[in-house]
Amino acid sequence: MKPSRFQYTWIAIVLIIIGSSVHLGFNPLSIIKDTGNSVVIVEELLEFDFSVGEKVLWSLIETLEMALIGSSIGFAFSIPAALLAARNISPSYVSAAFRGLLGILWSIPPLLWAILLVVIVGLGPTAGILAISLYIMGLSGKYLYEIYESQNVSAYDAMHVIGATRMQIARFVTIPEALPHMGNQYLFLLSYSVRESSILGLVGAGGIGFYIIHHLESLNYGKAAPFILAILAVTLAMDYASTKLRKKLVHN
Amino acid sequence: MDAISLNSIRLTINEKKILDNLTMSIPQGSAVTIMGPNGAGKTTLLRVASGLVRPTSGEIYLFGKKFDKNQRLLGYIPQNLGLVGELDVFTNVMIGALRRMPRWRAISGTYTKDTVSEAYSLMYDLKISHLKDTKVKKLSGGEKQRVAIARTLIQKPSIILADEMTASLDFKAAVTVMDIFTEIKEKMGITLLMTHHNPEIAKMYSDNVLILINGKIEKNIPSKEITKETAEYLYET
Ligand SMILES: Nc1ncnc2c1ncn2[C@@H]1O[C@H](COP(=O)(O)OP(=O)(O)O)[C@@H](O)[C@H]1O
Ligand SMILES: [Mg+2]
Repeated sequence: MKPSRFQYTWIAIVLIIIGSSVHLGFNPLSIIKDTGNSVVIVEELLEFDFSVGEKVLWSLIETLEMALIGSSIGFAFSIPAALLAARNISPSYVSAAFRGLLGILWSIPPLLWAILLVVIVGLGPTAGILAISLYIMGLSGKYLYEIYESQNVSAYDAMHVIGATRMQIARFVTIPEALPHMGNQYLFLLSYSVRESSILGLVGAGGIGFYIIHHLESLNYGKAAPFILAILAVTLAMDYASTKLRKKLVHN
Repeated sequence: MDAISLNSIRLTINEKKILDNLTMSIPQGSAVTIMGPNGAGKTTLLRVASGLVRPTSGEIYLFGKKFDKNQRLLGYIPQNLGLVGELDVFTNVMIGALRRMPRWRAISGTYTKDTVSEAYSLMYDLKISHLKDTKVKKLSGGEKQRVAIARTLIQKPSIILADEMTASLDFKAAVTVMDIFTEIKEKMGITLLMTHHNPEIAKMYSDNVLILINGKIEKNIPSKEITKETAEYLYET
């Protein structure tokens, strides 16, 4: 039997993965070979040093606040930006420009934005909030214009014959029809931002990540552990809560 | 006088002739149905007549004047109606009046008393008053049709183009909607250009039927002369 095109594709993918591993000198067994180190780290992490308890709480609150503010700003700006980027609403040169803008915002990861913003606005949560806002605006904007563009064409036709302006079309068709998706979208962005903002402290942009990197670098694994545990707990809790809420939204 | 006339309309998309040297005119106040097999070009013809699609060549005249979007003589009920499911019935009707109010009123939703009472009386005539606060997505097919009609009538058009407006309804519901629509159309002296799939409905509610095949008008038949054979001829070609 001759291999199908599908089988060829898979064979090619496997070959590329093996080739890349050889190229990078990657050996998956190295984690087992150096068991000594892993065991030491795990042991030390498990010696939870709860003397940092208060700091865990405050840095966790800061992280959540950053995520809440950052994702809300990003989401709010993404709604009009996506209107300007949608081909069925905006003139082609405007939509091309805003697609480009959203693409740039989205293609730079939050951690990179944070590095740039720390340089501009200095250390602290302001840089982190702005980093989240910019990235989320890109992510949410791209999603929203896809939603806008997939809306029922005949409603737009009716509006054009009526002689409605672009603003009126956005106000009476695009936004109301997209609204049910937006609640979901916002919850998703919120829980996503919590995860993102927990690492921004690595570059001094605020949040719990600062303490993790600080204690890890000074080899105080026991002190780092409660912070890592806190992130784990909050991320899981957010994921659980937002899944539940989204289900509720869908049923309404 | 002709309310609408198309003069040698051609539309070519990707070298495919969709409308082929099409000429027709609809006398003021009459009701005309275009019939033809799927893909004949009925929807495209209405989209060209409504100004949504610019023909490759040919002219469109409304009441003897060259087509101009700003005249606002046309109402258009697209296939699938084009209602906004997430908005209530009242707002969907008001959408038809957007062009008749200052822009800030439309955006802020502070409509004038006059337009509001027009909307109410249309909803009353179309028997959808009790649904005015209901989201359109929750309505039945027949109720949606009536919302689309009200949205078009509040524009005060002289001509209405309606594409497959009874397609989603069973015969009885179609008759109910078309009875109300025709009554209002007569009262307001509106010219009606429609497409229908059901030959029976076409016969009952139009003066003439135009047979469209491959982008050409093949026949113009007074609707009284529509027979079973006409329908068979249509759907076998
Ligand atoms: N935008 C378009 N691009 C390419 N082909 C189109 C487009 N719109 C319509 N057509 C083609 O034009 C023909 C007529 O379509 P349509 O007007 O929808 O027919 P009907 O309403 O009579 O079923 C079909 O062959 C269809 O595929
Ligand atoms: Mg059609």
